[in-house]
This record gives sequence, structure tokens and C-alpha cells, in this order.
Amino acid sequence: MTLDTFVALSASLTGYPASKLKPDLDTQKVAELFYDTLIGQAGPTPLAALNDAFLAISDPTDHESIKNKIFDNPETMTLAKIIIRMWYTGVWYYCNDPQDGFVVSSKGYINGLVWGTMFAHPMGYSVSHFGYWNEAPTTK
Amino acid sequence: MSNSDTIYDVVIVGGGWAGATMAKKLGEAGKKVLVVEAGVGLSSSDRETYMETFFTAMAKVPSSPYEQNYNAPRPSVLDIKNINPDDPVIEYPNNPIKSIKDNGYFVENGPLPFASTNERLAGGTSWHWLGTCLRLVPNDFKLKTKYGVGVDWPIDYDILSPYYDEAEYFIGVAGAVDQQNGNHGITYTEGYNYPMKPIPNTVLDQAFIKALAVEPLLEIDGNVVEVAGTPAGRNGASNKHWKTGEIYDNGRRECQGNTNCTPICPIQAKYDATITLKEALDTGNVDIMYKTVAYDILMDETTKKINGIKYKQYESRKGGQTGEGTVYGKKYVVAAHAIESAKLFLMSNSQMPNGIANSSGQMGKNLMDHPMTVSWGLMPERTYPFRGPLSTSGIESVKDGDYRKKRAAYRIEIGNEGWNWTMGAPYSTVNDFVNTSGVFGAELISSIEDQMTRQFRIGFLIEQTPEESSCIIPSLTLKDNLGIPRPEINYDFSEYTMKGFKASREATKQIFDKLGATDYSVTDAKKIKDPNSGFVWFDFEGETYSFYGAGHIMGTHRMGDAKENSVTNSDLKSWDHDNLYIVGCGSFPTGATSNPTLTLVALALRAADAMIAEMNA
Repeated sequence: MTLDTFVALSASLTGYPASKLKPDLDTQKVAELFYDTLIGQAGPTPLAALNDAFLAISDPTDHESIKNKIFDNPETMTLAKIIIRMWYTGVWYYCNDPQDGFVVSSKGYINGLVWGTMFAHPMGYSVSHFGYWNEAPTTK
Repeated sequence: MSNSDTIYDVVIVGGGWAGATMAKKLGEAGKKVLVVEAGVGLSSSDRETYMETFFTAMAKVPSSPYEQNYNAPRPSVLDIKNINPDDPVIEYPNNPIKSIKDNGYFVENGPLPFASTNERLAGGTSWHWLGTCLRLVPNDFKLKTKYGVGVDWPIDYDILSPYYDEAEYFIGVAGAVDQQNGNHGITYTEGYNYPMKPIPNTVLDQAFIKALAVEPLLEIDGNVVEVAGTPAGRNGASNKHWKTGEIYDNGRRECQGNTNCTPICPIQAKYDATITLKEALDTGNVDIMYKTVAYDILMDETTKKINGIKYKQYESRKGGQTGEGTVYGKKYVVAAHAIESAKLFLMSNSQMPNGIANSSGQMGKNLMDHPMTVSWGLMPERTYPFRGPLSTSGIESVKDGDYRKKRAAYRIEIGNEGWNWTMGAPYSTVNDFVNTSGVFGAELISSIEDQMTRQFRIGFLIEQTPEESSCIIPSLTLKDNLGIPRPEINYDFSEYTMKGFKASREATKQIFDKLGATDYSVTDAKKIKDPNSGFVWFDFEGETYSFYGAGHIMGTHRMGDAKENSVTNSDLKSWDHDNLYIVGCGSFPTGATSNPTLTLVALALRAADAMIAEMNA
């Protein structure tokens, strides 16, 4: 699986556009971090199965295709879900265990998508000003 | 570093909350002080290292930034589980590192597990405290007289009040007199104000205030349920000093709302005792020995005065002993934490069969916490948790009343970290949606957004009565990596305390109804008792209750007004040894419901004054 394929697949799975996952001017290189983790951790067989299944889909923005051919497909679902959870939390989970895994790195933790999805910041990594919590966040 | 041949004016065991406070006051008074700290020392890169460890920890529990030190080990909440007497005990007496790694540091005899933890390093547990700085209410000091329960304190609110003023400046507390004034009789010195204005409240706090203001007002056992801002040792906007008119400035940054007070504030906007420890060292009168574990207190047979404390030293967290010796002072302060202090006295029994400072037999007994009920749910509207400090408000209006004749009191903390503490959100939430609900893509975004912005929790800090049967003793068989006994704990709740739990469950329902919130707390006995659930629990009157520790470890060397039933007097001076003071939360005769740190500091400041007066006399 190439980095570009990984980013395109990740966009379909996470719901966030490729331009957010891998911005043009990217100082964080989060996509590269998670890509390297995937290549290092996933077995070659499930990785190839996921790669082939995704490349066979003509329109990666079509929810039903992704659902049927990847997310609900027994050959690809486990790895697909691990990838989603890595993007959201910065944790690589073994065999899709609910808890067992490892934090990819502090950069992975800080850049997890879940924090922004709920309009917050990673616990322990606020870059906001004193008292910001007194008002609801801007959500658009 | 010190020369241990010196005879100091005062030797202090422990460089945490109480020890640092005493060291600073004594050093400023010109006394020559030596602090003996069991854990690792201070360096300028500590916080950075601890943050990196925290970021990469899977379980972000209170101890997660602080690597286990097998020569001065500490407990972890990950090791707490219900005790089944039939379970085989698997220990490795000859391999203390493996034994502590596999089973935890505490040796738990039950019947209930002790659910709170502490840290052992310079600055102590202040590294992971929340920051709450509530005063006790006047009736907390006379539970026996007013309600016929537990014991009275040997001092009352009025005696401690000026020391609360001093402690609030010592720590640097953001708060307002009118948030607490009049609450169950709390009064302030005329003209007093806090060093800093209150920390702004959260969107969730505001939703609580709004919902609870709707008539008819919710009353529980005669008290109207009202939200109050929580005074906290976190930096906010400065006030002018109530006496001098000077603008308060402690040189640290304002809180940035990292939602991470426990386990670690990344920017030290939250006070911790390392600040005071450094100030103590800066007086030029205070020396410190790190990685130095006191294990035996020596006594002069004739005068009964303490005349030395023996220690062991090490260099790395896993390496073994590298040195040993004895330190000497004219006076001694033991401030090693409620559990370690009591353990040290009980271990020091070469001359006294029941240990040092223990003619009352109370040393190590009356171990208390604020055991907690935590309830969690979804608010009807978005209240945006995970933004701001972990808690900025609570419900203090319910913590005193005639009901205390019958059941334990509680205060209620409003938590700002969604279901993080109880369920491990946001990790658990992401897992639930992806693996259980089978959601991905845009639907996953909207699902997380909708649920996580409405998650909330409240925690009831329940007063636990002092009982002799809840106690800590040094283990006869299990040792740490220096060969020093590990703490063995017997622990239980009285029926009075359990009735507080029962009342908290009823209150949860009433409060959630008032909020229009949906309750997701696990109250089903089968689910709580599932060994994979991670809950600890007890049964009471046909119901099963899960509980959490508050980290408020109290009672093990209680003060009192008679030597027969207490370890120290109200100056925290030992009844048995004229030159020995014992400070820390272990001094508390009863636990009340307010988080104990402010009271611990106020008592330490008062003890320091008493010591200085005695030395200058």
C-alpha cells in the first residue's frame, strides 16, 4: 500500500478529507507517522487484501461501496477499524482489541482526530487562552 | 547535598506537601533544616519528561507520568481490584520488583480494596492533585458533639481560620469569599479576599446552575442543591492583597485549561509542592537528600526524645541499595504521607514494641479516604467537556445537616472530563462507535460529535468514619527493593459510610432528572461484578455499589486532645516524644467531605509556628 492510497483510504474511513489528513504544507507528518505504523504492524496478507479491495472501488466517496467492500468485509474489516481508531486516538490496537495496544507516539496522541471532532483539545495539550472554557466553542 | 554528620535544627522526612511547607517556614525562620526525600529529586526537565511519559501511556491514570520506582514504590489505580479470600496469593518474596509489578505495591487484606494512591518523589502527590482548595465547614470539626458520630477535632474552625487565610496565599488560590461564605457557617476574616479571582466556570457548570434554578428547587435532606465555584490552587486573574494592597503575582502562568490537572499540569499553572521545596532550598538554610529512604527512627531511652533517623540510599529506580546512614537533628518532623509515615513509625520498633509515637495504639489505624460514587450520563444539550480544568464547580450546599446523625455526608464534584475517568473516553467512545455500532466516515464524525459534546459526570466524595479496623501495618513478609516492608492494608466501610453511598444513588437520580440528563452509570450488580469491568464494589442492603478512591488518604496518625486516643496534639506534636512532629493528612481525626489539601497545609503552617515558637522560647 502506498502512502497516497493510505491517505485516500483513511479519508473514506474517517470521514475527514485527505487535505486535512495530509495537508499540502504539513509540518507534523501525521499521515506518514500512521502510515509507517501501519506498514510496521499489519501483516502482509490483510494489508494486501485491504489495498486491493480499496483500489477496486471506483468511487471512494461512495459510502455504500466502502461499507460493503471494506468496512463490513470480513477480510478487511479488522484492519480498517484499527486504522480508523489509530487516526482518531493515536493508538495502534492489536487485533482490534477494545483496549490492548500502544500509543504510536506523543505526536500521534496529540494529533488524534477525536479531540477536534468534539471541539476540544488533547488532554494535556491546550494551546488556548485562560478562561476559554467559559463559553461554548465555535463549531463551524 | 548534605553532610549527614551535621546536627540540624530540624530533620524532615518527606519532601511533599507537608514537608516542603514545614521546610520553607522553618528555613525562613533561620532554622537549619535537612529534608530526607525517598523519591527522585527535582530537575528542570522533569515536567517535559513526565509529559512525554503521559502522552505515550495507554492508561492515563494518576500515576501515568511518573515511572515506578522500586526502591520507593507507589501504588497504582491499575492494581486495585476486589479481594476474594479464596484467591490464591501469588507473590515472589525473593523478587520484589516482579512482585510489585504483578500485584501492586500495597498488600491488601480487605475486606474491601483500598482505592486511593499517592506518589513518592520530590513534591509528592501534589504532582497529581486536582487543585481543589475548599475549607472544612465548622461542624466538620465536631462531628461527635453535633451528631454523635466519630470523634471531634481538638481544634475548631475559628482556630484554623487564620491558617486557612495563610494557606490560601501560600498555595495561591483562585476563589471568592462569596462563593463559600455562609455555606454551612464558613466565615472569613473581616476584609479577606483570595489572592486570585475565581477560575471561570465551564459551559457544563452553567447548565447545572440554570437547571437547578428552576422551581421547585431541588432539596436533599433539608438542603437546597446549589452549584458553587470551587476555589482552586490554579492561576487566574490577580487580586490586590487584602492587607497590603499589592497585586498578587506568583510568577507562574495562568491556567490554559489543559483538562489535565490530574495527572499533571503541563505548564505548572496549578500549584505543586516543588515550588515550595525550591523556595525552601533558596532560603539557604535547607539541605535535601534525595533517593534517601528513612526506615528506622531511633530514640533515647532516658529522655524518650528522638535521636536519629536511619536511612538507605539508591541511585536508580530499579538498582539496589547503594548507601546507608543516620541523620541527626534537635527536632524531627515526619511528613512522609499518611501511609508511609505510619509504616515508618510502626517499623521503628527496636526499642518500642508497638513502634515509635504509638503509646495510644492508634498509629496506622483509622485509615480513611473520600470513597466516591461516580455517576455519568448525557446532557440534553451540548455542554462541551474536555475544555478547561478538570473541575471548576461543585455542590457544597448539601454537606452538612442533621442527616449526619444517620448517614455519611458528601460533597458533589462536577467533572469536566466527560466519561474519561469512569469509562476511558474518548478511547472507549471511539471503540464503541467503530466496533460495537459499526459506524465510519461522516456518520462517525457526527456520532462522536453528538455524544462526546454531551458527556458529563458527577462525583460524590463521601465522608468515611474513622474505624480502628481500617489500618495499615508494615508487612512481615513482603518487602520493596531496598528490603523495607511494604504497607499491608485492612480496609472496610462502616454502615454509616455505606448509607452515604445509598443516599448518593438517590441524589443522582434526582439531580439527573432536574438536568433532563440520561443516566449511563453502571448500577447493575452483574455488570459491576464482572471481573472484566474493572470496577471495585461492595453490597449493601440488597444493592451493589461501585466506588472509586479520591486520593485523599487520612487518619493514620490522628491528632486529639488526649494521649490515650490520639497520636499527636493539635500542634501535631507527638504525645510520646517531645521533639517529634507528625504532619500530613494522617493528622485528620475525621475526614469531612472537603478535599483535604488546604486543611493539610493550614495544619502544617500552624505546626511550623508552634515549632518555631518552641525553638525561640
